[in-house]
Amino acid sequence: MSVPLIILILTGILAIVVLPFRGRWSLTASIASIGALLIGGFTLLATLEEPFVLLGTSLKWSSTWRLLGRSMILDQGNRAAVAFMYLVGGLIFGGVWIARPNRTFIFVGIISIGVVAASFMIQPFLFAAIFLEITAMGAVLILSSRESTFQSGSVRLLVLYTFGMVAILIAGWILENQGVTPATPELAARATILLALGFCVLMAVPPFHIWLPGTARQSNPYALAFVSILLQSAGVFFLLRFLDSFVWLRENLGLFQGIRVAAIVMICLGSIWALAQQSLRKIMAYALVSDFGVTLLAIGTNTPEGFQLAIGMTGVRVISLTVLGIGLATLEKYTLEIKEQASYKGAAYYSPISVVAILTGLLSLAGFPLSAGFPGRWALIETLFATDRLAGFSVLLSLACIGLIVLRWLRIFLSPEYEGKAVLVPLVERGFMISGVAFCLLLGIFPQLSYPWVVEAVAGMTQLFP
Amino acid sequence: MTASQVWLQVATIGIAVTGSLLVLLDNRRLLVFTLAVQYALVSWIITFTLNVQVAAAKLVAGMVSCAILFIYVRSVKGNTADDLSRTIPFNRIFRILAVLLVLLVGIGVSAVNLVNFEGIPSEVGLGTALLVCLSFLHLGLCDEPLRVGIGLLTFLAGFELTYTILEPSLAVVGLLACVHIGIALVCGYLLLIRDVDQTQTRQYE
Repeated sequence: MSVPLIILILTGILAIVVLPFRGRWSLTASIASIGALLIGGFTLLATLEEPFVLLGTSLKWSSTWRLLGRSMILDQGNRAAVAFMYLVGGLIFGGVWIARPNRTFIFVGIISIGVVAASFMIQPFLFAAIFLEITAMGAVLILSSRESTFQSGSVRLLVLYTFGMVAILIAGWILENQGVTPATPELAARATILLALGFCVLMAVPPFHIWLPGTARQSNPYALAFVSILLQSAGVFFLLRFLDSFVWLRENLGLFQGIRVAAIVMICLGSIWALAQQSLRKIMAYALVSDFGVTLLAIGTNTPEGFQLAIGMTGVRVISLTVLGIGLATLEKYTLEIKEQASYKGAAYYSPISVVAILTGLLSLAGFPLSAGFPGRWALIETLFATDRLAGFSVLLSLACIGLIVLRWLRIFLSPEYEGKAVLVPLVERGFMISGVAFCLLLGIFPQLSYPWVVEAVAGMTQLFP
Repeated sequence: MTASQVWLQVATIGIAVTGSLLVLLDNRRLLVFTLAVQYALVSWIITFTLNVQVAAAKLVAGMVSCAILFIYVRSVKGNTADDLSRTIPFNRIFRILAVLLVLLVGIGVSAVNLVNFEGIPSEVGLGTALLVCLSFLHLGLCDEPLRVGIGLLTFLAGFELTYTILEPSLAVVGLLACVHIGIALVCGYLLLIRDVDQTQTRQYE
């Protein structure tokens, strides 16, 4: 029996188990969350290629599963990344019963995590692009809601990921079959352009971010948070695997310069667009564009420390986005319960915990001091000011813009317009949100709790981390 | 010119016709039927360069995708592929002119070997270029889920015409078949929920 097959079978079983209970939120959330955590734990702890005794039976699990001439391999290079996705799933599914996205969320979410895990394990890894396309299809189902008649954001996501997949597949074929080296500049340029196109889609570089504002407007914020985490994490790991596998790509300084320019554009545009928005959902979308840009900027430094920071920020984003998404979803719910209109004036009086969650999530996403996102941002700013001041200032600009947004919304939330009582939030719901906020602050104060563990996810990329 | 080359040219002209009809037609059932014919032609072209099993796998995946779309089309009200949110002209004359221009572009693009694909017959290259260019037109003009789905499936069919010859492994054929079926399922689902009576999107200020 091979471990990749066991992981995928367990994922399938988990998805089937939750299927009949759709709509019973607390039950499905508990099953999915515990199940995903167990699969993540199994992925981390499974003994590979060595005999061991289980319940008196001697067993040996293979790390390879062969299928139709291709292999899925779980090794030290991708084990932590696969486990990371399941553990993230475990955390996010736990909050589903509070945020209440659409009924297919958990079922499709589990399958999507399985597909992303498969994309990490497939060899040759170039075919991971097809798995990411399948994940994007799952994302469309997660984001689609019956409340919205026009699913432009979801449709755009599907179209863009299809283009991205095709670009990466063609680039992969050129790399594998045409012998691209620094000595073949024309071929290298073609492959680089195609790869750049593919990764611009995966990393939501403007104008390929257009699906984000659309889905933010039409979908549940928690669903958007999950989809963003899933697609973005998969994209970052995929990009790092490309850099790890191809020497000429790592040695292409023009490529890293291009990445830095794209990242600066993303950070500046995302921050300024976020500042111009009147809707919290759209602010979340554009803050995400800016945050993706910072991750890309870390990769653009072309140093092992930069790559580790990118992975660290990808991990921390999970906490920030979960807190922001859940705060926004609950605030919308309570606002409509109380006011029957979507105005958040005075929200701090009737739903203080949701407001704190939103503001903490936003600040953490921007990397404000004492929040989970801060240590990564600070380390990156320190690195950048020594090499590329413009890039360093762009990160500071994003901090300033999100800071202004938080101040503006704090004024709206504290507006004395509302004079009624606070909403009675169930104890467990309150506990979940307070824990999320506390966790955000805790990781900001003690970054060693998360960063060293998260960067282990890429420890197997021996070329990037010699 | 051998008989197989003649048939290859006939099939290529066929996919140019079906690709154009997909942009020009409005009837949803006819659109799905035309897509099925296009899949048959694409599979036929593949038989000229690869073994029949690969072409058969493509055909089955295409037909399953069409069947899925047809089931969804039957489930929704009305039979016209409307496009309520369009902001650019969409009348028949505009589309005919656009299709003609895009066909010319496709023929021009096929003459330039952009990525150095060796061993690809010129007819296959032409078929790929025509389908990809027509799918761009399709996707540029519409955002109705059915039309977007058909545009994406046309794009993938064009891409696979060439890619299958370059990478004929069974695993890739199988995975790409999953992508076709997945797109049909997702776009059908979006079409269905778009059709259900819905409340207006709430704007949260």
